[in-house]
Amino acid sequence: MKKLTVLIIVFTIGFFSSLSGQNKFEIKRKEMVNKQIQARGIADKNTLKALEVVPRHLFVPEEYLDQAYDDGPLPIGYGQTISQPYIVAYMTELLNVGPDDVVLEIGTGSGYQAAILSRIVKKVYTVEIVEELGLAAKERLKALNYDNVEVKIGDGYYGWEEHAPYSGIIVTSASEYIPPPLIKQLKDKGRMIIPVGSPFSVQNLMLVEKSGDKIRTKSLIPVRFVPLTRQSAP
Amino acid sequence: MESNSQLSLIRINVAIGLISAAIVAFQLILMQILSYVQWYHFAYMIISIAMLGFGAAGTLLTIFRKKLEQNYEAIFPFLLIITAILIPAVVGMANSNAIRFDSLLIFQDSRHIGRLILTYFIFFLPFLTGALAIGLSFSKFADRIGKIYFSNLIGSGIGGIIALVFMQWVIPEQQPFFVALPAFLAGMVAIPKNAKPFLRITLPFSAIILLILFFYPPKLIPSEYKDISKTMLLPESTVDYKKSSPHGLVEIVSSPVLRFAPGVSLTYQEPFPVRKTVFNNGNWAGSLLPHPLMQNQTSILDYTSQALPYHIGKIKNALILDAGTGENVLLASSHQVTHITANEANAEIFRLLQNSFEDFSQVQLHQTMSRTLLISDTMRYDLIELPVIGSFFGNSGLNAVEPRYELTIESLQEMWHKLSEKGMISLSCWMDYPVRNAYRLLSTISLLLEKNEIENHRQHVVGIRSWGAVTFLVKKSPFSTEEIINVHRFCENRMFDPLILPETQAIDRDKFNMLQDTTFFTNVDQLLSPNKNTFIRQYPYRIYPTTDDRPFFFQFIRFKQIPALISSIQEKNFPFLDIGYVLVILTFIQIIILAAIFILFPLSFRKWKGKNKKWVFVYFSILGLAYMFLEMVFIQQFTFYFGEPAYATAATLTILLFTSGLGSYYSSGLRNTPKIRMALPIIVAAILILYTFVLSPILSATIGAALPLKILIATILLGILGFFLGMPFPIGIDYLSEKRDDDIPWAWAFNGYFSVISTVLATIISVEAGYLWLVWIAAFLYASAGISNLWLKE
Repeated sequence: MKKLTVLIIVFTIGFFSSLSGQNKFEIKRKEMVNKQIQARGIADKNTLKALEVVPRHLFVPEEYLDQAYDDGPLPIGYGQTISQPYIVAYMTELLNVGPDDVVLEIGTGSGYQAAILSRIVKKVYTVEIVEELGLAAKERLKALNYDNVEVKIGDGYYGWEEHAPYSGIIVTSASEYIPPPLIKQLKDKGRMIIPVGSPFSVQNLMLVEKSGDKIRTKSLIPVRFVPLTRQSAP
Repeated sequence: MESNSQLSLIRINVAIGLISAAIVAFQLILMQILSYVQWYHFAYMIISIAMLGFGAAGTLLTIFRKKLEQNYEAIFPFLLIITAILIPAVVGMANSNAIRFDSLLIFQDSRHIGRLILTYFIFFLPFLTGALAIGLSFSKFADRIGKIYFSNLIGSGIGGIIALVFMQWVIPEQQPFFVALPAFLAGMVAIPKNAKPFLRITLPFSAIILLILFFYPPKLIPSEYKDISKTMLLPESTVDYKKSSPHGLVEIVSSPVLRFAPGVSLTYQEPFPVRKTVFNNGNWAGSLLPHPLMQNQTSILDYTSQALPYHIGKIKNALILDAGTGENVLLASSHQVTHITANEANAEIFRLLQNSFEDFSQVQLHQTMSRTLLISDTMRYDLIELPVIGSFFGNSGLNAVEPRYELTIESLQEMWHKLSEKGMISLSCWMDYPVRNAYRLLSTISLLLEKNEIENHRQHVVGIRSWGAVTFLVKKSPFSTEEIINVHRFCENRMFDPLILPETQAIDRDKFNMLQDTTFFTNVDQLLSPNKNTFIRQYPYRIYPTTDDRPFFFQFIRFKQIPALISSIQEKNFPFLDIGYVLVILTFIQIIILAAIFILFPLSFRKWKGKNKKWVFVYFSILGLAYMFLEMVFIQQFTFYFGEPAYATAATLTILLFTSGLGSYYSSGLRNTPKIRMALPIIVAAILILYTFVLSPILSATIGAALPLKILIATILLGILGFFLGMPFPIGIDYLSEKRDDDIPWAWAFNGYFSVISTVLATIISVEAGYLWLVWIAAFLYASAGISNLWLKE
């Protein structure tokens, strides 16, 4: 009886403290959306909602748990980072996709970007070349019930032809080239987003748009730099 | 007592020479190791750590001088043997999982700050023990300082050569062991015949430890953010080849998914070629061309903006600078260029280049730096091309304080004079944001045209833009209508956009590749207009042309921005621009504090009685500060002269230290009079002032001479200066030993403190004001040291 009482007390304390932990992260997440995302001009409701519900802290290594909602990228090992929340939001909004769309992600990393997209689109296919990262992300996404995300370990250069064409492609692990198979797998009027910059810098983004046979790129600037640009203008 | 015998002094001198060689060699290989596991900027950290060891040794001497001197016969060899063990041991410790730090994570993860400080402390230890052994000998035999200082400097000079030999022939993991051997030998030499039992045991015991460290060397793991680390994560990636040299560690990696297509046009529909990749010190250095080469193979680079010159006119002679593994040579070759000259300074990469083009009679290869080739070569070229500047990923500006002589205005001027009548220079860079590379290139081009009295800049410059890069062509004669038509055609075929053309107002500059920030176009126009200087002044980043005096192309940060950047690091929302320079500033702040803690703070507990405290402080501090300034300047000057950075550094150090040693030896025979003490530093100042006028012209005039003659010229120029540089310190110490030898450790400590901060300070001054200012400041300091002798109360 005594043991049972102790167990009940421990369980109750554990339950409430985990609840308060959850609340703590929820509060941080809301703050993140308000101060880092909306304040910088991201207005797409689906994007904001997704960032508000996806628990970013479950996608970062344990030692960075406290920094999960900070305004910056975080290391996830293997020379990779989980992007700054604002960049994730900016890329998601730019992709301009909805509930009927199928999206391809090249470079699963932690799985956070795929999780965000999964809250907006019908299906997310994501390819990761680093086996360890890919397997960990696959497990994580499964455990968190992101059922409309499929992870493949493989060479992102070839995309994922079986499920093409895609309304949008996000290449999160940027390389010095844009693989032709990815352009082929993009739907007409589809968009591809590629971040450019070193892992810990604020990256600017490259948008590739396909219209019939024509392809156009656009170099975009994260909002943060706009004042600087104005200052630099003659 | 044995130490008083003649034999003993010889043995001490030999031991001092050996330990000095070990310390300098260790310093150099540690710089190399840190360049591999981290990035280039940590070289400055190592120099300052070494100097900190010397400074802290001076402080320990001040506090424990009597006890240390009393037990000299035991402590001296013991310190040497401990240094021998510490040299390989600290490399292992610093690279262990628990301590290894990552410079990119320093601002991200506070644990890495702690690890960095710990690494700093660990590396400091062998320098401390080694310097203590040397300093103790200086103090113990202050009356014979000239000869001991001679051994110290000669040994240090030889250390530079030893380091080069080990870098060439020993794998990096085992280099610390080999560097430790001279220190161990020094310990063996210094053990007296009647040594105490504990010393006798120490020798075999430490030999066993060293052997263990030889058979189980430390594993050097590069930062996970380095190019090679990321590449090694790719499936089936293997290191096929590994070779160390003074230029760094060259590795060739293969993987079935390692492709080469940098910035290639979206119209390129062929599969991207899988290529082996070459890394130097863990950084991408090029892709390995397939061998044997097919003569008519078209380079994938033909689908990049760099191919523009080959599509607008016939190129007969091309000069490909910094050719790396030869991709641009292949591009030229695929366009039937009849004569191709190319250079690569890195000996190992040059060997790969030679292998690729050994069957190409039209290709002439030179293993030298671009500037040396530009001055010594007499050909005229239709095209001079440099590799793409910057990096697609950005590199967080980690190479901000690396001198880039091939990109200075003087370099472009030399290229201009090597152009044929219709020749052109091709300069490409990756687009960065905020834009810096392209603007700095354009401001340099604009100045080049101005210097050559070209009135209408637009007639001589063409610029095009791909989705990720910009290429500028600067032509000696105006671009013809036909050539402009060809530019349009090339852009249309490749989905590139024209950026600068004579009729820019009428062209569509973002047909294929749009920019959200369209101020780029107006800024480019500004840079080609008469108002360019206003724009350059007002732009938030430094984009003025770099010069040979301030050759830091990738240093864009204005000094006044640094406090704001450091505070934004704390907010974790800092775009890590030019982090290399910020790290140098942070290192400087850190080193001032650490040097104060380890050198000056312990002294504050000790009373210092003396009549000439002001002189001791000023004289020895100045010598510490100015000597290192000069080392930095002359290493740069002679790197440029010899065209071989690693060898030039070692040669400069060796000549300077060796001749300083001779000067020191000579000074021991001089009468130590007030006039001599005053005259010697003033002579140094006079030589320096003379050098500011004659050095550059002499070097420029003889840069194309045969190597033996160049070595002779360098030896004379550096030797004269080094000889006199070697005198003021021992003559000052000799004076103190005669008058008041209690001041000696203080002198040593002040000299150490200012040597510690001078290396980093020299870097900051050279970035902010230029190398010439460093020489002027050093001349002023030496003159002041001479004049300070007037304060002496005899």
